[in-house]
Amino acid sequence: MVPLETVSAPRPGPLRRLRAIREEQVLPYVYLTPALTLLGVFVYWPLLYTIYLSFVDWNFVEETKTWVGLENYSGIYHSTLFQDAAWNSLIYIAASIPLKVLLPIPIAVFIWTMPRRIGDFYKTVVFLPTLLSFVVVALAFSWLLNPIMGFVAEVGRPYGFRLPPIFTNADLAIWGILGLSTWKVIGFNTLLYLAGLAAINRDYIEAMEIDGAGDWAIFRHLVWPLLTPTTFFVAIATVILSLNQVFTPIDVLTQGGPSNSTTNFFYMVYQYAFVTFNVGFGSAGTVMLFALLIIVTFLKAKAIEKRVHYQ
Amino acid sequence: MTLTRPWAVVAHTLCIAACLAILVPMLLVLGTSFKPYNEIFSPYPWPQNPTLSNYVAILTDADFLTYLWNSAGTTFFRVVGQLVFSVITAYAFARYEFRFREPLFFVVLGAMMIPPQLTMIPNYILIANLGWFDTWTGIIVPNLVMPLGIFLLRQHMLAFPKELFDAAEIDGAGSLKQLWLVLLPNLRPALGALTIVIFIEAWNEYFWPLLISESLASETLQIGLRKFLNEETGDDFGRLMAGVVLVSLPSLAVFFAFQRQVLETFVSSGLKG
Amino acid sequence: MGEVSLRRVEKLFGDVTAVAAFDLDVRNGEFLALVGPSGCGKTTTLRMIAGLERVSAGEVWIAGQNVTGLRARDRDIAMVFQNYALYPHMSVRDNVGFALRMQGLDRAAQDEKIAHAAGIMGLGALLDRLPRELSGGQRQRVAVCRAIVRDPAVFLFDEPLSNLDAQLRVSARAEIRNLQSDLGVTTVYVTHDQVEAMSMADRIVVMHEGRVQQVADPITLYERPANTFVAAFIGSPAMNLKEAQSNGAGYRLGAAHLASPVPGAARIGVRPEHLIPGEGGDLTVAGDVRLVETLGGETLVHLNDGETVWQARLPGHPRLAQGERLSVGAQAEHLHFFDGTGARLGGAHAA
Repeated sequence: MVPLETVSAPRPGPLRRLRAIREEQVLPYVYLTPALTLLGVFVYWPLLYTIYLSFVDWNFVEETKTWVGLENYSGIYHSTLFQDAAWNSLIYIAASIPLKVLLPIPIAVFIWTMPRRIGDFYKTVVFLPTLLSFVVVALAFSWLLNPIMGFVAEVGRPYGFRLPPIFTNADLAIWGILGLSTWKVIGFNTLLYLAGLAAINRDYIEAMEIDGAGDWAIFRHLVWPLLTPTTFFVAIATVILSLNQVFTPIDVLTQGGPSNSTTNFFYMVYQYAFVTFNVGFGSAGTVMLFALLIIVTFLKAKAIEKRVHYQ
Repeated sequence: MTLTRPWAVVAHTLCIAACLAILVPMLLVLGTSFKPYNEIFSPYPWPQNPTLSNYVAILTDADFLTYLWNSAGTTFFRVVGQLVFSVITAYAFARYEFRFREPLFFVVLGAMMIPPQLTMIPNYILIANLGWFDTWTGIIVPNLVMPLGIFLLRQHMLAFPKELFDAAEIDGAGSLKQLWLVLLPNLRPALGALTIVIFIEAWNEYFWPLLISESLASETLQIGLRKFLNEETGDDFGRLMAGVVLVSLPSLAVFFAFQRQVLETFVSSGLKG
Repeated sequence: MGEVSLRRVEKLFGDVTAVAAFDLDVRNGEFLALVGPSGCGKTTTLRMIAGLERVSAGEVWIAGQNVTGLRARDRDIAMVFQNYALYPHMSVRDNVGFALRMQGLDRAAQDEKIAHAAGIMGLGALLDRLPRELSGGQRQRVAVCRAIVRDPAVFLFDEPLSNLDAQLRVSARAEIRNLQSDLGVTTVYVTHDQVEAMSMADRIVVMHEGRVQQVADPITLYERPANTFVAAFIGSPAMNLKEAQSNGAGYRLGAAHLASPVPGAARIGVRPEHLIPGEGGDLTVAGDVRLVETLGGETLVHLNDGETVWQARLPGHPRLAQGERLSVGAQAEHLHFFDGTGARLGGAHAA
């Protein structure tokens, strides 16, 4: 055979060849650079810098940041704000389990059993608050529950019912926040359960019905076990969300008060940094919160694994 | 499955109760927004003499219009930016094999888990140093990348048949043309749903503007509404509720226009996030 | 001109050799089929020719150019995919014209070429439909149309008929073959179906586990398979391939005896159609009829000789009952001898 080189057409230029070989290796990095740079600048670098800031004493304006070691951590630990926030955070989490994790389950299961049209109607209605901003929801409830001018007070007054001031009462305010945040997120969690239910093969149910199982037996022995991983997942996700998502209503309605009765870890960090301008305390609080987040994320990953396993 | 009678009664009772709990406050807000000032304290849910005066007052309020402009503008750029970055980043992850692909994707997933309160102090300092304090730029730029959007689009792109990329490659389309002319036209439903979710999130954002906005130069509707409560309205709840309605309208409208896809995307965002 | 040459082309996926040192020259205008069971490396080879898969070693030449480092889009090839890979959101016209659009051809020139190609494929009336509005056969024609519209140096086909039903597959086979000889474009055609390869190709490459087993025209492949893999893979029903036990005078094959002129055979094969009823052959097989399959013009008989089962293809419809005793025999020139490694022994047998 004649060596092909001697009869070949002009070889493609070196540039074209180089481009061809390099392209697949270079392009993905080119595409990733902008987004990863932004994430680096606005997510990852701040996390690291926060760790540094948690060891200094600073107020945003001074020239120098004084190194204070672990003093910010011990300072926070002994502060009333931290102790109140910790206690309140526990209440937020504990109360969220029945309100936001368990209450949506019967709603979702019932919707799931209904004919499509009526089920879709209920689903759409309970979902509506998800679309509203927390500012809007907070303002609406601040009017509805306003002890003097609010609608509930107006309706109750002729019957001698006196609505106590909810958001200015240290015993009640946290429940007001919990109530309106439940109102806002219950539909969303219902949808999460519906997604879990949608994965259940209805053949099993028919098989159980043929075996003579009643509604309760089917729920108890089939639906509930299959829904457990989703429940576990929602419960764990709620630990962080129940603290995080009430930030806005707290800020709009109570700013953490009255007398720290509504603040939690997330709002506490904000208070340290942007109300009292104690950057060191704020950063130390953030680092502690970050540790909590990592634990929860780890548990959540386990929950996801489990859910995949079940389906 | 179909429930037996007693259970069906329980089911509908619970669902109707839940729906009432959700709809009644909404309708009360809507009703009050049409009440004239002298009816604000009336115990009737609906206005006796309905009026548009609350809406007229708001819509002719220069401050409100400025908030609206700021909200619309920053939301627009955030949505466009998040879409563009989500598409191009997801494309890199879904289409190509390269060194460090898995660890780099982990970087994106990690960012998805981190709430903004954990990064706010350095970001606040950074924005101040950049001179972006109280500007649109300051509101938009830190929020240009949405890890969840990258994640969801990547899922959709992975489900796209690889043969079509091969065919386009052979037909002479370069990498970006394959993305723009072959992949994206087939991803329209997913992109539409993601756009809506991004829009609603950006429109409802409160936290970041709270930190860096301090004047009409950048304050958005959510911030403005909250200021209404403190300063302007006093006891004029009719006007405040009209503001509440107006601010909520865009999200509700978009939702009802594209209901199905939005529900599904919201759910998948909740399951991953 | 559209020659394709592979020079010691290799593909490794990690530690796994998908294609081992592959040398091949496809002549200009030739129709070459790559055939083998799934996972044999035939599709990987095709994708390396296309430029969709990078070679781990070796060179690919197309039309006298070393294209090893070139992207698929710079190689002047067109490809038809197994699932057709039609762009779902584009009409037939836009699918066919996409490559022309990428070349930057003006609209009028595009339309002219599209109309011409669509005319050849009989798609004129379907140009404004979307792929999902087409039948499987129509989609397949669009895929071919998209390849021919570009007038490329080489056509590459990746199992283009495997998604069609049996009847359509036979007519599409002839159609593609006619089209290829009319256009005279070099074609590399991948299939797992040996009937397809045999009926269409000028030459066939049989591959197995990443290695070339034999390169030959269909008749040679059939009559002189280079080894037991090719012997068993080509031909339907498959060749009777039996362990041969040397017993001094000749071989024992199952219960049959063969006085063979070829020494050193480990396996001996005979095609079912070469087993003819009667006892006069060099090899005689006597056994009980176990199963009778009517193929139409012919009948396939499974014979159990007590140790192994033979298949004989008999003309017409012989009346045979299950359990009936039957003797068939073959002439020595129709026997295939293979050594212990599976390689063919002796050259004189079979024409």
